[in-house]
Amino acid sequence: MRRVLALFLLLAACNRQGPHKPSSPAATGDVSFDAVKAVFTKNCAGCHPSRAAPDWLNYDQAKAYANNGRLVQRVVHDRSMPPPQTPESASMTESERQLIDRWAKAGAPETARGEPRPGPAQEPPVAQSCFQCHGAEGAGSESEPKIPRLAGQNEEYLVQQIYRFKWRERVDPTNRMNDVALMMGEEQIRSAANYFAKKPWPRPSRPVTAESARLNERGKLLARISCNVCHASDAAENRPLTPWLPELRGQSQPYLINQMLHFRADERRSPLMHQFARELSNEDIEALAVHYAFGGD
Amino acid sequence: MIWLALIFSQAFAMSRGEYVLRVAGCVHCHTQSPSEPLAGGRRLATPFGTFFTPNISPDRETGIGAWTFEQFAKAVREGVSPSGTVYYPAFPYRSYARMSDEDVNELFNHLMSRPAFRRHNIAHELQFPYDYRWLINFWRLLFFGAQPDLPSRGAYLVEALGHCTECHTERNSMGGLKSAMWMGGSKEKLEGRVIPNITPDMETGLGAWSMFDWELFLTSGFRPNGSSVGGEMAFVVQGTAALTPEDRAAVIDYLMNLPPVQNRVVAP
Repeated sequence: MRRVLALFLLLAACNRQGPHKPSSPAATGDVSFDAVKAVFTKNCAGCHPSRAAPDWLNYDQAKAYANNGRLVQRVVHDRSMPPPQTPESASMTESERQLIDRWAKAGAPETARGEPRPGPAQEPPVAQSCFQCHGAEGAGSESEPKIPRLAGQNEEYLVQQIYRFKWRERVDPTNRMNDVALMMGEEQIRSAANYFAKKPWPRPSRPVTAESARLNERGKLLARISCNVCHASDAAENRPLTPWLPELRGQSQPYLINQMLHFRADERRSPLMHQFARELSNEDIEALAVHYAFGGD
Repeated sequence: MIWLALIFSQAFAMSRGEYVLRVAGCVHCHTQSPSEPLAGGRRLATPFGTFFTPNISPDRETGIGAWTFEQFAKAVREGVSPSGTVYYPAFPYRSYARMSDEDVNELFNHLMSRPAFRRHNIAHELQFPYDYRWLINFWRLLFFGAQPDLPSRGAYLVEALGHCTECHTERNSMGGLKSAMWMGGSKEKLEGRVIPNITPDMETGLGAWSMFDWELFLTSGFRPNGSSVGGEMAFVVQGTAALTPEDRAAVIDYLMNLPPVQNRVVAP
């Protein structure tokens, strides 16, 4: 068993890729809203928007704060945002602060100079077929909740799973995902995974009924000494132990239940997951799914 | 009292197997009724629920009488029963894993020479989710890996045979020992008592204890202030009192040279 995990970690390590380096922006007027939006997504979306705090991913709001000077004042000059002592404050780099400064000084343009307005044609073509089911933001589907959320999912995991669908190592009972994956090339698989991985992970709701609170509690007790060992590891700040493993927190509950049943029946092939799933009752599976859907706290 | 214990340990020359049995503390946990030693059935109340220790007397049907040496060694050092089920770490096999081949062999031969008692094992009564035995595999995955060789006889007696670390080191929420808190005690109670910090920390540990204090304690259970230990530790001292003078000196040397851990578990 330990050997299985060791092998698995080894595989994961071999396939890990270097971080994507963002291209450095040019002179004033060359920074688009999309470029600063990436900075906002990375460093600000953990708290914003809330109450009086503006939504930086909304162009109109961001522009208003850029033009009244408060954005530059707080981020660039007195550096009170992101709040000091927070991880975000440490993660926002000097060049990212300068990027915001340049963008605001140029009048907060939506597009960079000489760049056409981004439209649907600019999206990677294959993402369009992803959007139909997973949503443009990767938030999943309300009408078909067995379709997973992809926003904020581990990029390596997404790449691996698309290949599994492509090679039919993982089979979607409706075949939709297998058909789409079959048409995707290496480049498209990478870009689709990268696109969804960068979207902010949706904020999960809290338990509402006594029954969901009870299941959440049961799931929490069980997850803490089993699933979390790999999927929300202490050693990785509650993130999955390797980028090849899926993030479960905030995932759709019906999707999680459905996948666990597939693992248990050995229909989604994973010897390790099958071994664990077959020990679980229906109630355990539901409890775990409720727990993770509520954010895994 | 001290002299009685000393005389007791010196006068009765015991076999190597019995020595291992005593120092490893097998009898205390595996005995419910004194008339049936090693026949198991003792309750162990823990934060995870109640364990009932199994029968390790050589009864062929309800004890370990039918086990081969290989099966016994696998149970003691790897925590896997002859039928392949994994043991809860309430059985300190993480410590016993580093027991020497010779000691396991002597222990096996000695156990097989003891009287057999017929007593069926009682199922543990554990809280959810600990009642799922398969979850032990996660614990094993995380905390039951290859361990470095023990550097000295003292380390072997304390960490492997005596399994002192199992109680005297704080555990994390997954049941793994916090290595930075090695022997630093724990506020988590065992049978209603906190576990003292026994590192040589001057303020919160036993830094003030001299070699003679340790000698007195390990042979008699008396602390330097004249009080004596109770609870589980009173039984542990029966094992430490059996140590040969050389082994006791090795244990004291190990304990007095532990890195001091600052952890106040009892009010000063």
